[in-house]
Order: sequence, then C-alpha cells, then structure tokens
Amino acid sequence: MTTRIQPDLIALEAAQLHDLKLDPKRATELAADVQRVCDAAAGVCQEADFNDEPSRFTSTLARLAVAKARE
Amino acid sequence: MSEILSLSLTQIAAAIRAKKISSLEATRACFERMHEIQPKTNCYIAIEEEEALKAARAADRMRGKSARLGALHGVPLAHKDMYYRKGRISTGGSKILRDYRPDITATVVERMQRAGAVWLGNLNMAEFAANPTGHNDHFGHCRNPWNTDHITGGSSSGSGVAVAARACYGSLGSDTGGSVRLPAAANGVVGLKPTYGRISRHGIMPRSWSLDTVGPLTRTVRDCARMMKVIAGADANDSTCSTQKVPDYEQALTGKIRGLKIGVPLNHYYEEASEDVRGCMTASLDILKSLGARIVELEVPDPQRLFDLSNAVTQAESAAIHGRWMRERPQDYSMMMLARTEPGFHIPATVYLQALNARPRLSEEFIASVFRKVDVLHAPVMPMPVPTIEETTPREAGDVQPMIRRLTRNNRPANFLGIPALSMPAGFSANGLPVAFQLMGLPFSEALLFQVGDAYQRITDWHTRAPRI
Repeated sequence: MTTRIQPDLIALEAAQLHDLKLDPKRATELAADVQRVCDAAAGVCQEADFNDEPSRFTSTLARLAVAKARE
Repeated sequence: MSEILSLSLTQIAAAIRAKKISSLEATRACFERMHEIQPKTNCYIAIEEEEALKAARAADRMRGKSARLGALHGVPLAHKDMYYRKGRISTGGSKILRDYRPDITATVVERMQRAGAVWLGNLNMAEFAANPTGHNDHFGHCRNPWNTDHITGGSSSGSGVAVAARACYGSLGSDTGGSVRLPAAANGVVGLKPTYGRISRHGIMPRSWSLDTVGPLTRTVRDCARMMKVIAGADANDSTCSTQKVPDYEQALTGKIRGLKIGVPLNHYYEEASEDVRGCMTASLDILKSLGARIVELEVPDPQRLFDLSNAVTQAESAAIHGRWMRERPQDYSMMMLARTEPGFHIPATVYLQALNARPRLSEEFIASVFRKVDVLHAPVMPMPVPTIEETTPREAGDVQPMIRRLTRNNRPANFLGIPALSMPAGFSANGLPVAFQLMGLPFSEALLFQVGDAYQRITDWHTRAPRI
C-alpha cells in the first residue's frame, strides 16, 4: 500500500522518539494505520470552528439530554 | 444445574429478601456451577469461595435484623478483573499486573458492597481490556459456553460467559469500543454501554480515559436496570462523572412501547451483515412492530468516520498509558495488545486533539440528525455469526487491526458519540451461536432503552435459554 506517510518516518520516529524497534514490514503497516486516522482528523478539521474545544463534550451530552426532555 | 440458578438477578434478590432462599444457597449453587464450567470455558481468573460464603452467611444473618436491606442484598456477582479493591490483586487480564494490588477501591465496587452484593471472584478478560475476541495469552483464552471452539467476544469475556452459563447473576464489564456489547451478544445475555459519564470510572483499570465506560451484563433487562440504579450517579472522585439525577430504571419497565419510533440505519451497520444476522434483525423488528412501535429507515451520519476518530483517541491514550512498559518489557505483552497500541505512538498530538475537539460537534450532529426522527436506533451488534477462536487468532501483527475492525465496526461509533447502547439477545445463527441487536439512544436515555428491551423480552424467550455445557 502506498501512503503519504512513509514507513521510514514511522521507523525513525519509533526509534528516536519512543525507543522502540520496528521491522520494515510492520513500519509499512503502521504507516497505513496512521494515515487512515490522520485523514479522518483532517476531514473533521475542515468543519471545525475556531472556538471548539474538547471539554465541551460532557456538557454537550447533558445539554442534548435536557433539550430532548423538554420537547 | 440447580433450579436456583434459573432465577434472574431480581428474582433471586426478591427470594433472598423474602427468606425463601438464602444467600448461602445461592452462592453455593453459583460455585458448584462455576466448578463445572471453569475447565471448559476458563471464565474465572480468581475464585474467592471462602470469603464469598462468609459474606453470604453474614447477608443471611442481616435478614433477621431490622436493618434496611440493599437492592442487591445477598446476590452473588462476579466481575471483570479490573475493578480495584484496596489491597486486592486486580490483574487487568495481564502478565504485567499479575500481582498488582491497588491502593484504592472503585466507586462502583463500594456502591455494590453497600447494596449488599456478594463478590464471587474475578472474571477473565482480554489483556488490558484491549481485544474484542476474548483471547488471553496469559490466563488462557476464554471460551464460549454455546460452543467452546468459538470466541466469547471481549474484552469483558468472562462476564459474558459467567452470566450466560449461570455461574453468577450479573457482572460488571467495561466498554471502550464494544467490550460489554460484544461479549453480551456472543453469549446471549443483556449488556449495557451507558452514556459516557453516567457511571464513575474511579478505581477501574484505564483503557482509554475519554471513551471508557462501566457497564453491567445480566440475563434480563430488569436485572440490568437494577444494577444500573445501584452503580450510576455522580462521584467527586471522577470529574467526568455526570451529576444528572439517576432515574428509577425499573419504574420505566412498563411493557409499553406503542407509538415509539425505532430507527433502522440504511448505511454502514448492515454492510457486512450475514443472511442469518439480517434474519434475526428483521424478526426482532417485527416483534417490536407488533408491540406498536413504528419502524423508520434512515441514513445516519457516517459511522466509519466516527470509527476512525475513535481509533485516534483510543490508540493515542493507550500508547500514553502503556508507553513505558512497552519500551521496557515488550515481551510481557501479547502480540494482539502490542499491535493494537503501536499506532498510537505515531499519531501526532494535534491529530489526537483534533479528534477530541470534533467530538462535541459530531455528537450534536448525529443526535440532531437521528434522534429528531426516531426515539431509538436499532442495529446488529456483530454483523457476522460469532467466529471461532481459530478464525480470529492473528498470525502476525498486521492481522490484528483488520480483524478488530470487522468485529467492532458497529460498536465504536456509540463510544465516540458518548451515547448509550443496549445489547439484546435476538436468536441464533446457523452455527448455533447467539445473535444480538443493540438499541442506541440519546445521552442519558438508558431508561428508554430498558423500556424497549424489557417490552421485547416480555414476549421473547431468547434470554431464558442457557447453554448446555
């Protein structure tokens, strides 16, 4: 599989940042996995608002439950 | 098998309270059953027979006093081996924590103790709650009581087995990406993944902080409602735990669902569904329709995207949790655990945060799109019949992610959205293994899910069937 994220980058990152060893085959597989996740995040970034923030998650759940109850 | 074991959790609780059966009799019956099934299913990691029998005797003595009895008084339960009790071993299904004795007790454990439950032992689970099959290289694979060649589902593997095989009346599992619903489905029992924050996570082994939920596995919906009432609610020790009032879930079990709109997704959830799973889904919808529910087909916002984003969160958080041990002692992890966690070391922090940042908005969009049209969403838990252990044993690291994707594709979206999902037994596939549907709803709509599930169980008998093992 060809990915924009190169297996060499994954192998180097594993060795230099995390002190982990990877063989070339595994680095190729991980490159594909990481690419999939990065693509999904890039997709949602296009729709993000500047003022979004992760901590809104639990309050969003509470608000949506209450909103439905009031309908 | 003792007749006592055919009673449900709420039935045995009532019988103990009314002094028709003693907690000691119920506890002994569970241990007898456990000793029968353990060699075949390997569902227990640790059995605490002496202490449980002592606790049962104490529970029986209390009945004679005027003390107010808890909702689980004298009821024998067993739990996934990741609920901390101060000073007691909690392995997390791992080699690394084989002798780990936490210095805190989980909030849910304290609540069950206050409700009078008896602790039978610690149940098998996937290593660090990180696989959906029930494989465990350190304590031995857990095996499905309907056919021991097949997987149990995971990661709460022992919970699904022990409840299905009548070796306990209920169990706590945990669900980060399907880990309650999959073993509930594969073993033919009820399992709830609650709303994120409905139940405290304090004192449970972490898998992925942002997605972890505690959930009960039981034989009936009413049993599940009982356990939920005991364990749900605010906890000062867990800042993500909601302060929303906990309803009386059993009061919601009216048997009536006339007029409710039940959604059936046209995209994603059926894409890899086998014919027999589709047949069971159709049959279950026909039953709900016969009770007066309206079935509404609809497109839902892309669950595959939610699946991928949930992977960004789980993998990054798991890599952060296990980073040190994975560097220092990788040989102590199974290949499955290493392969699942490795991508997390290469997900940029910005990508992880972008996934988390999108969560409130995507949840809002999904909920607005789906739950304005329907009250609950109905879908298969597992799109294929329960596979064998052999079929799901990875030969190399590259086999792990595709296998996990196939098994969990219908489960992870609800974890990312934070919404509740109830797994319900719905028949059997051609290979004789259970099939299940799940009901998903708005945040904090567990009472509604219980209402629908209970109405379904009033006119079906899937939940009364026990494996012959």
